[in-house]
Amino acid sequence: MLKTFKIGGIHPAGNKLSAGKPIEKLPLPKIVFIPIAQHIGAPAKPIVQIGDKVKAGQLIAQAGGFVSANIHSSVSGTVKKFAPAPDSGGYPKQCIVIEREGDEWEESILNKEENGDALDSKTIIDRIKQAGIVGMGGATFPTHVKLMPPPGKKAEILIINGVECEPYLTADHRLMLEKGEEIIKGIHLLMKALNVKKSCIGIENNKQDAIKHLTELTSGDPEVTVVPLKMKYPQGGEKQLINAITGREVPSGALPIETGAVVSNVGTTFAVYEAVLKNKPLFERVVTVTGKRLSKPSNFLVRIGTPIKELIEAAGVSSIEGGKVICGGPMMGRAVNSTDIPVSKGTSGVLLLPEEESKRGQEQDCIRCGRCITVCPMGLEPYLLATVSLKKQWDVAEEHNVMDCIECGSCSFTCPTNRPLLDYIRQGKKNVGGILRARKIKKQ
Amino acid sequence: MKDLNNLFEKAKPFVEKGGKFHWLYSTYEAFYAFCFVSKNTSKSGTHIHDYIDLKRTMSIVVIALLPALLFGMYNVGYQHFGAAGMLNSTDFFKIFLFGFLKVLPIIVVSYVVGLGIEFLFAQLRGHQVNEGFLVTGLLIPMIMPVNVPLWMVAVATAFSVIFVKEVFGGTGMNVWNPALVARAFLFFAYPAHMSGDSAWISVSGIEKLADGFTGATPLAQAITAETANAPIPVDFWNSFTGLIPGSIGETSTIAILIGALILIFTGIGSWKIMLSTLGGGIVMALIFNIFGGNNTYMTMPFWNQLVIGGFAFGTVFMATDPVSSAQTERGKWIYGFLIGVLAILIRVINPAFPEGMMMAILLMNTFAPLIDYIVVQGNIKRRMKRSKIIA
Repeated sequence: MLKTFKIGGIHPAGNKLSAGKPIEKLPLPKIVFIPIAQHIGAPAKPIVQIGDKVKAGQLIAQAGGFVSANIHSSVSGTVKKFAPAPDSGGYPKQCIVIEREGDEWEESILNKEENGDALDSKTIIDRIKQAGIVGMGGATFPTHVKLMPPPGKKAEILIINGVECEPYLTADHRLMLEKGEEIIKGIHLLMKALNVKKSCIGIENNKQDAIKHLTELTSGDPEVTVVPLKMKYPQGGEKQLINAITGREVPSGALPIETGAVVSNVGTTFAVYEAVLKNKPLFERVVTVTGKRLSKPSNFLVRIGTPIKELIEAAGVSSIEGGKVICGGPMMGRAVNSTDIPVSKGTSGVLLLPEEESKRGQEQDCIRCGRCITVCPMGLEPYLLATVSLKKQWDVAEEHNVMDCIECGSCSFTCPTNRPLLDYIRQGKKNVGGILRARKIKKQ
Repeated sequence: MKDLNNLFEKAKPFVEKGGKFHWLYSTYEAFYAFCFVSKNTSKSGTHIHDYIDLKRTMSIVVIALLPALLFGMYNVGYQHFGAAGMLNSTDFFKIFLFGFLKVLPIIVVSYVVGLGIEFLFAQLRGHQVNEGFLVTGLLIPMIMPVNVPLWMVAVATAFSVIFVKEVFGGTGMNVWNPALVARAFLFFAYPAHMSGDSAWISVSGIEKLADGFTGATPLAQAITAETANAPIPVDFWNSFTGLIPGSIGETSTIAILIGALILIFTGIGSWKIMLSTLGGGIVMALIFNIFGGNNTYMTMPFWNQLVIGGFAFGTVFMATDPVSSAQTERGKWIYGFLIGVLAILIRVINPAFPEGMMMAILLMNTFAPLIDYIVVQGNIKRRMKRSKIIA
């Protein structure tokens, strides 16, 4: 029996169109828009001036607090201006706009890897912090914060997330196939940083080649094991993955470290390897560009700040009329209204979904079938949360643990009467979250 | 298909806002949605959707009902010619045709009356017409005795659609299963037509009944048999295959099982409810076997209890009705188990109500929201406990 998380889950069609496409380098963009807030937490503070010459990998904005991350230039060129550009949420965010000239990298970036045996935990975390690494699965939580558990909490196991349960996306899959050895090295660095002796790589069963490849690479390694997982969405969710691999459950309202587990995405792990052993900051990442209308769905290695329209054009579509453009996967990604938005550290994919596929039927009355309860991976009652959110009964929503919702969308996906349950629940979450914050401030 | 689409497109300006027949929009929308897929796309939230929707759900239930319905038609003919003693001289198609012609009018009446009222209400309220009645309209004929007068079907259907469904707000809002309420309505309003020996077999046009003909259902026979020594009225295999007198669609356990497999395989009917109802029935029958008196009914082995009357049909098609059943996971187990227990309890203890299944399901329909409430409160407590251990 393959392992998987205990409650809920759905099985959307995989549609991994670009799984067989090796990672290609996208031609360098003429101009990049690098947002100063690409992570959870405080935005970074720019340290360059208009007109400054920068090199790829040069620090251009400094972390604005403990929960924040450094930002580096992804190209060499001139800083043109500071201007807002829309992000995937649709709101304009401040960006540093750099016009590219050539491709000159910072001299401190090594071509050959350093031997990492002598590095201690503090050095590793420090280098990760300097390189501005954040969770690249989409949550963009600064990695160095994750690696420093609060006092009294001790990490016991490192879990590497190679699940990639969102349909269509293949960036992590390709990375595991092509950069397996580097990822394993990254895992050992993270283990050293956390001072743990055990690590598991969770990979879903639909990526047999990646499971085989990494199992071979770790065959002589007593500390790292590859755990094949049964296919089920949202297995890539942090809490679900911990449950699938350790059997433990993250308590309501608590952080995953409560279970002694620290989860890191394979993309992040690769970035950690590059940052620590090659001194290369995070300024490029693998992005899947996919969709059934594209003549060549691809996995591109993209500089941060590249407008997504360049990715779409490179994948073989000149016009995006008659469909939707989504940043991320079809379940949790966000539909965008412009293709000018830049790739950021958390962009795992760009998906072009034709109209037929993104049908949302007419919303009807709930028939109380209970499918949403069956599929909810957090064991909540989505129908109830949606109803009380619609009625603005925030206290009831709070009582029913609306804040536990991970917004995976399984309920909306499965509802036979097409109720946009997640949309309603998000409303509830937002309002209850506001109430909770206000209460906290009052207390202080 | 293209012509049909063109027709819809042509009619659209008339029924849209400002059009001549704008008040007919919900009717238009209902027919359009029935023939085609609606045209809206998602804006936020999840961008893809499971293939299942209400329309498909209802179509699959109708498909799952077909084996039992077709068998029921055949059985109506079978019982008729059996009563006349002419079974050996009548071929299969003639038997089926007889039953088909007997059952068809009931189905037509049920659909015409029910859908008519649904359209009327949707029109008055400016709502859309839901697909829900497609199933209810087929369930009603299947739980009727074959000799039920058509006007009664019409009255019962009208009663259940108006007072059970529309008054509460239409599809998804009803507390009880509309089809069962239609049956219950007739059972209490016109008991003479819904029970007794003359309701179950169509004997019209038969000049001389065969020897030993009773016309009573196994349930009725079990009640009248007074001592444990009396033989079990109908043997297991006859009840299992279904060639016995009874409501049109309820007699054949095997046909219902095929339906159950379809429902479980497609994930539309809850296997949890089916299994727990079965469990409840078995437990209660065993209790009677062990502690009960010595009449036939109490000593009847549980496997016989499960195949007679409406137990199988109710378990598969009525108890699993999502709208009126419990919807929480644990609630489904409790709900189903209690239905099983109550059905056998009512049927055995109170001979005036041979059909305990109907009562049991209606009663549990009433309590389903309460069960859900208790389960949900329990879930909250459990989640709270978990976070306390840590904090």
